[in-house]
Amino acid sequence: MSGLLNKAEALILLLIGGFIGYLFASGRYYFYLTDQNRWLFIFSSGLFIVLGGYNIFNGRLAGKPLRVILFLMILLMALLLPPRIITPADLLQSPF
Amino acid sequence: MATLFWLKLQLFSLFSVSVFLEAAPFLLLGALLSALFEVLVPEKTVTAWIPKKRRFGLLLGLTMGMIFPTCECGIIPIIKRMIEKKVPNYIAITYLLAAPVINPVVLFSTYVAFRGNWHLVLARIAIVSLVALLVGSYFALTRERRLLKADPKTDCDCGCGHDHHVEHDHHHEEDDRGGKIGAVLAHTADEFLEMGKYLIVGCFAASFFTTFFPKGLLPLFETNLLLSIVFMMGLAILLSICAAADSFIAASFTGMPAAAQTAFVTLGPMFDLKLLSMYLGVFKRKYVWRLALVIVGLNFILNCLLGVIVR
Repeated sequence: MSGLLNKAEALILLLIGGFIGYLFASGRYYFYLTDQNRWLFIFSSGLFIVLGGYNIFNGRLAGKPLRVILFLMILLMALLLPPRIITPADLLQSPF
Repeated sequence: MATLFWLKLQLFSLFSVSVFLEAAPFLLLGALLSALFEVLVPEKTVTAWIPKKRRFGLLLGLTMGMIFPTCECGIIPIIKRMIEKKVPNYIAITYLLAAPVINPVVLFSTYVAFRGNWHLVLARIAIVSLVALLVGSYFALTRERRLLKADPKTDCDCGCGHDHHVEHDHHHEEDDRGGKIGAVLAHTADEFLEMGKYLIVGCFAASFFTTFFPKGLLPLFETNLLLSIVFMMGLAILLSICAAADSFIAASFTGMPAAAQTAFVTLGPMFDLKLLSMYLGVFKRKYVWRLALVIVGLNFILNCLLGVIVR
């Protein structure tokens, strides 16, 4: 079971990297301070993929069930995102 | 009814994912720095670099963000590792509170967001520095010892962070696989997943409040200085926006007094729902609540004073 969770965690890292990369490439996500932070998003997308890839084959992660559940939840929520560009206005849209 | 529920759910997801995506790269960077610190910097080097006099230690904690800029999410794994490497609590806490704001990236973003208003940038620096120094001084004077939460499964002083028994040789066989690069990759991934767990809980809490907060309350707060500061501080706690982006949100509240806008950008990087969840994952519960009370109280007092001066 621990081995399976371990692989699941590594896969989650790969998915996060892929998702950030996809959002960046498709221009669906507004990046704060675009010019300053762009490198960080590209770098983090690549690093997530490297971390996921490395840990899938080496199996050195703790493999904790709660971590897997929470990260899967946030990834599932990403599927509910509306098909348009996300802007800072979205963060203020609801109550105010 | 079903449509309204669907819309609320979508908004909840949008906010959760937005805050998470905004913070994840910074948290990853923090986890990477923490892993590099763990694998490459020996404890002897750390202790040799710590100033003997406490006031210099406090100054070091206050200004370290200019050299190692990190956001409020990314700094938590670094702080944890620093304390494990015997950096005194007061330096670590001062760095924890000051670095997310007193760093070139955030100061530049504040300057841009407030359209070149240096007064607001300086007010942000002054209030954050005062709070960080006061809280740091408290820890320097009281000499609190074990700040970090003990994890029965991983409680070992070597700071390796792996699941293993307390009694073990400090030469980890598994760390030898892949050499130092392998150790950095494994530590970074584990640290990110561990801290990310608390980040997600904080994102959910912030989204819940944002989605279900009653509408149309804003004009009630704009005319009263105290109420506007309380409102913006509450908003900073609930929204949990990253320090690099929060000044853009604060600046969009054009009807609010300057002191209320400053309260939003000084409190948020030190304490919000997302950070509360992350602090509880790292520090002992009693210190987290004390820290929260002091941070909120000092921010309120200093921003009220600013409001009176500016008025």
